[in-house]
Amino acid sequence: MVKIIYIEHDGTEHPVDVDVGTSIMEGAVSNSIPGIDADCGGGCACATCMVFIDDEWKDKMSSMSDEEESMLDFHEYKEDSSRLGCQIPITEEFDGLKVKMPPSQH
Amino acid sequence: MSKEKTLIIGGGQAACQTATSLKNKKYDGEIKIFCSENYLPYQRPPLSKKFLMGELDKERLFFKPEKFYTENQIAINLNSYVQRIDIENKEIFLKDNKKENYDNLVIATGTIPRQIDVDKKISDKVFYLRSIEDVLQIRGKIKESNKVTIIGGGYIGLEVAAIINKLGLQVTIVEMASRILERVTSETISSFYTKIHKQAGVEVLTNTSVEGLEKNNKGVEVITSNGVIVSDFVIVGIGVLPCDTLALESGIDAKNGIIVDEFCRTSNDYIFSAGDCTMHPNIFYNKNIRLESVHNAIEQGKTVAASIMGENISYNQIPWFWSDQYETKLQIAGLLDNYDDIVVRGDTKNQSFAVFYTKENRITASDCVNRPAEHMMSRKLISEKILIDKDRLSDETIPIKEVAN
Repeated sequence: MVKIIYIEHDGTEHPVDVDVGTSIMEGAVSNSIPGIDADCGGGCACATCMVFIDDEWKDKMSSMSDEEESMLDFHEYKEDSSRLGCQIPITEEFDGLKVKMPPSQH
Repeated sequence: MSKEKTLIIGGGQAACQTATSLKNKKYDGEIKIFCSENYLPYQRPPLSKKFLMGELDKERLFFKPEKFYTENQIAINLNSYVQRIDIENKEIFLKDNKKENYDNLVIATGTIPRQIDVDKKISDKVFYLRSIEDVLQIRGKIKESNKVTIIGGGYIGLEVAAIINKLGLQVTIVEMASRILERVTSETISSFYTKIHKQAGVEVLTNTSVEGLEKNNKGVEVITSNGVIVSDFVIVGIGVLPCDTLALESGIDAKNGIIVDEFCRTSNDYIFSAGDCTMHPNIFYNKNIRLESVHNAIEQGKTVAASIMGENISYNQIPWFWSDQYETKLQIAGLLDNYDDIVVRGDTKNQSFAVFYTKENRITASDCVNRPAEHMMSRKLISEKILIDKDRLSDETIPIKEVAN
């Protein structure tokens, strides 16, 4: 278990414990964090689990596939710090990670 | 005054979404879910993909952990069948004749696989794939088998064929139509998937109907119009039927699905329906349709929740789907309703291309193989009904985002 702090677009923080080996998306969905829809359940098929990750954490994560990049490219609120939560498996290193969410996933 | 009460019949994506959306909207009434299966509501798409492969634990299929339901005071009743709805007195009756009253009722009963006639002697060798339990049984069977026949060349049959082939078994697909996926896609896509299945070593028999199944000492003889295929077991994937009998017998309008309007309201003012079991209007295609789709289940779940809250937000969506086979992800947008032309972007000889279906120079649907950008862009182009130049659409030197400029 690691502590992840999901932050809604309005600034509301949700600190929750998430299992190592699951994804940032799964951590949000299983804890009912508002702001992540995850329509396809983690298939990198829908781009409804976009999150913003600060640079200091981004380097610790697996790099982005072309597929993820293409899906993100069409998200209305895409920024440089965008990632798809379903594509990032949680490791021990992520304890204390802050994940910010867009105003909407659609 | 006692609290308002919403009952949800069904334990799939639409049922779970309805309950979740009600909670997100701060619904303060009571919520009770009645699932016929013995598992918390779970995702079905991975059943014919990663879960069949054994790459995903079943707990990871659950939408929410048990504590979500307890913390949110959503009562989940597993293994519970609703036998009858008394629409006059607003009550449902469970199998043990227990009854429960409601203010709002949501029917999200999904579909069941279309069955074939099978003699009892071989029913232990014939499988369908719709539930966790089905997959656990099939996984057990795979371990002790060498050869499987899949009846039906639709998406379920093909996904299952790809996985079982990867697991090392010899797979034969038997399809009655002249090509696989005939009901749902174009010749171009059918040919592509026929090719990749054959390359992987799967036998694909089209124009072949199944005339009977017989037990033999090795397993099952599948008697077809093109000869007999002997295999250890058989998986049947020949489509699904909407679970609308409960609704129909209770006096709610249903015909090939429970009939709802754009607010997911049935013919009864206090009863709503969402997901695969609904026959609903789609404004983009201007007709009533039934969809077997995660996206539809989610969006109709949200629509029902909004309707219960009195918000009246109409369902207004372009359908989309996806299918994973081998190293390809197919993303489908829109309905292959009617089109007058096909535009291909990329080369179908490679495992990365997009097929756009157009009518009067507007995209009405698309099939994208390992082309997520094209898929996302086509959803935008379909929904905004943008006029396109077909030469630009097929020209790969123009980025997909700029083809409509």
